[in-house]
Order: sequence, then C-alpha cells, then structure tokens
Amino acid sequence: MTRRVIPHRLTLAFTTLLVASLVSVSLQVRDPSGTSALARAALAVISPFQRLVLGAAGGISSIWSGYVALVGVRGENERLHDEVAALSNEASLLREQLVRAGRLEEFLAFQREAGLAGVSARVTGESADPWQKAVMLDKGGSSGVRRGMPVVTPRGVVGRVTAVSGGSGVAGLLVDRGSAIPVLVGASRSRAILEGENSGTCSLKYLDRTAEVKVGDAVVTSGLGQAFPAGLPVGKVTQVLKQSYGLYQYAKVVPAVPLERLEEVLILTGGPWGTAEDAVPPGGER
Amino acid sequence: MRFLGVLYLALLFALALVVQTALLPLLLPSWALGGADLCLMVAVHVAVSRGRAAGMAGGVALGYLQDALSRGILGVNGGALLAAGFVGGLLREQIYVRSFAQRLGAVMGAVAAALGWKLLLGLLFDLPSPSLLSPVFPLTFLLATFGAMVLTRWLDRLEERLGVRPGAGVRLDG
Repeated sequence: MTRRVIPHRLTLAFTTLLVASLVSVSLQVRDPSGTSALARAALAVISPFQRLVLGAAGGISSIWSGYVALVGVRGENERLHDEVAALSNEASLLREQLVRAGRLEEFLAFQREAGLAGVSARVTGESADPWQKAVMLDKGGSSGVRRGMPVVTPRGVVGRVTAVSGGSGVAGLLVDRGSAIPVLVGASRSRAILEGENSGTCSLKYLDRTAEVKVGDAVVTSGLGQAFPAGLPVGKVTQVLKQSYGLYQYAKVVPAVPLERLEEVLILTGGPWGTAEDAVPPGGER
Repeated sequence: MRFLGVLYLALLFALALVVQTALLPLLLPSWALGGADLCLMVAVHVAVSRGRAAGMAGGVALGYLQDALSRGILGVNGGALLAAGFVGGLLREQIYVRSFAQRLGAVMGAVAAALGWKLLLGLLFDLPSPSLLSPVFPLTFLLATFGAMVLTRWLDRLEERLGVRPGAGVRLDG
C-alpha cells in the first residue's frame, strides 16, 4: 500500500513544483519586482568562493606561466634558474598590476571627461545559466549599486545591473536576448532599438527604412527613457538588411566592448538611472 | 550517515555552482558553454544514482540557486532540473540502471526533460533557450549527455570511497 502511495505522492509533488516554477517564471517575466531574497542570499554566499577560485586560478596560471614552463630547461646553474623563475613571477604580477592600474586610470579619465559618477567593479564570474549572457560583479548594494544602473567601460556600453546583493551584483550584457537599448545610428542619427541575440552580436530594430545606414556606422545610446546617458558608444553596424517591403530596415551590430574579455567595468551610480521605475526586469526589457 | 549524505550533496552543489560561474568560462570555448551545464549534470547524477525523491529535491534546490546566480528569473533552471530529477529518477527506478546502455538511456531522458522545459519556456515567454531548428540543440544535448555520463561515473566511484552513497548495491559501472 505504502509503495503505491509514495510514487503518487512524488508525481503529485513533481507536478506541483513544476507548476509553481512555471507560475514563478510567468510572474517575474510579466510583473517583475526587485531582486529576490534567494538571489541576494545566493550571491552573498557564492561571491567569496568565486573570489577564492578566481584568486587560485590566477595563482595557478601565474605559477604555470612563470615557473612550470621553465622547469623543463635544465642547466648547470639551478640557482639562477630559480631566480629567473622568481623574477619572472614577480614581473608577471607587476605587469598584471600595471595593466590593471592603466585600466583604472582609463576609467577615471573617462569619468572625468564624461562627468559621470560611478564605481568600478571587478568581473568575478559569468552567469550560472549558460543560456543567459550576464557577468557577476564584486560590487553590490553596499557600494550604492542598484538594479537598472548602466554598466560601461571607457570603450562603451556593457549592459545593466539586473540583480544586487550586499557585496556583489549581476550585470545583464547588451548581447543577452532580454536586453533592449534605445540608440541613435550613424550620421543620420536615426532612432532604433538595439536588441541582444544571445550571440556575439546585437540587432537593430524599428529603424526607419528611409534612414541612411551603412556598414561601419557607429551606434550610440540615445538617452531616451533615461536608461543610459546619451552618446555612449554601443557598437558598429556590420550588416544592413533592407527588404523590399515593410516599414523598417534591420541591421546587425557588433558591440564596441569585447564582452568575452571583460575584467573591470564601471557602474554608473549617479544620475536618474537605477530607480525602481527605471529598473529593467530580467527577461522583460523589451 | 544521512547527515553526511546531505552535507556531501550540499558541498557538491556549492562546488558545481562555483565551477560553473568562475572556472568553466575560463576553460571552455563559448560555443561549448551551452552544453556545459555542470549543474544539470550534477542533478542528473543525483537522480540516476538516488532515485526520484532525491533527484527532485536536489534538482529543484540546485536549479533555483542557479537561477539566483543568473539573470534572476527564478524557475527557469529550477523547473529544468526538477524535470531532470524526476525523469532521471523515474527511469532509474523503472529500469534499475545496471548496464552502460541503461545508464545512457536514463541520462539521456533526464537531459531531454531539462532541455524540453527550457524549450517550453522559450516558446511561452521568449526566454533564451536552445532552438530546435538550429544545430545548437543536438550539440547541447550531446555535450550535456556526454558530460553527465562522465561525471556520473566519476562521482559514483568517489561516493563509494567516501561511503556517502545510499544503496551502494546498485553500482553504475558501464
């Protein structure tokens, strides 16, 4: 009897949980609120481990490039060999620090020139779901970061903050399928919406078919809706698709920022962006 | 013993999440990342080695944590890993996985259930999911199945050594 009942209970539990998941997704896509408590808690717990793994990976990579690669070169002077390895390690670390300092200096210059207030954040990992294009950041609510805030580098737009905990956050990238950014295209300054495609490129939509757009045209933020400051570089047009019918033409855009090699970003904390009304829900940016 | 088993699973889940978010993006090319869903592989392993109840509980917990560490829509992976846990556990109970072929069948069923859920959400809510019409879908399916088979085999041995595996009589060696 018990053996009969238990399988039914499991099936019932499965159905209930599956329906609950469906309802949960549907509620969040249609009527999004702030970052969930589970998301905040999970971010807070996982971030220290991520930093640990990142640090260990950096150390291993540094040892690999600075020492293991030299072990094979055997000579009569091992002392010199070790010294070279140690110096090489040190130089590698210094180079890394120099590059990082250069990047931060670039960020500061960019902030000064553009007159934008923000905090720099380090990318600590990527989205736990391989089907979503997002990165995890080491700055969160305690640094004044809120959902919806623009994430940029001096090269251009990266995306927007989509989830925040005390000491870390998640930024949805502009190539994510849930992302939509109002932009201006080329010298004609035509308005359009840039949507992510979950690949390395984005697509320009709602672009007036009479607008003169060509390959190589720059795409910049329009500032409409106060989602991003106006005039930030977003990408370049790589392909224009104009059909013989319809009101609009379409174009492919490659992002100005190499999103697959992000190490540091700037979160724009000043300005009107990132308010509750402004915060763009995950999966509901369209 | 039960406490140790739960502690082991909690550590396994935490490790899977950290590796998924911090290490895999460094190690794998972007085209392989879609199929390299370590959390799915771990949920499949739990289901195929422990049955429906553990598969569902583990799947839903790991899936919701995965959602929390993604763009924030709770239920996408929660539902996917729940489905993987249910189907994987059901197949394990029905065919009493012993041989390589039986294990492959159970793993394929669990992976298909998870991808099926994501396809359904993609159709209903326009969320990112592998498209049936593109070669990405079979590639994702094959990579996830292969990864889950390798991981299951490896974790089976580890769990036997650690003594944290319930029903050690059912050894999943192929």
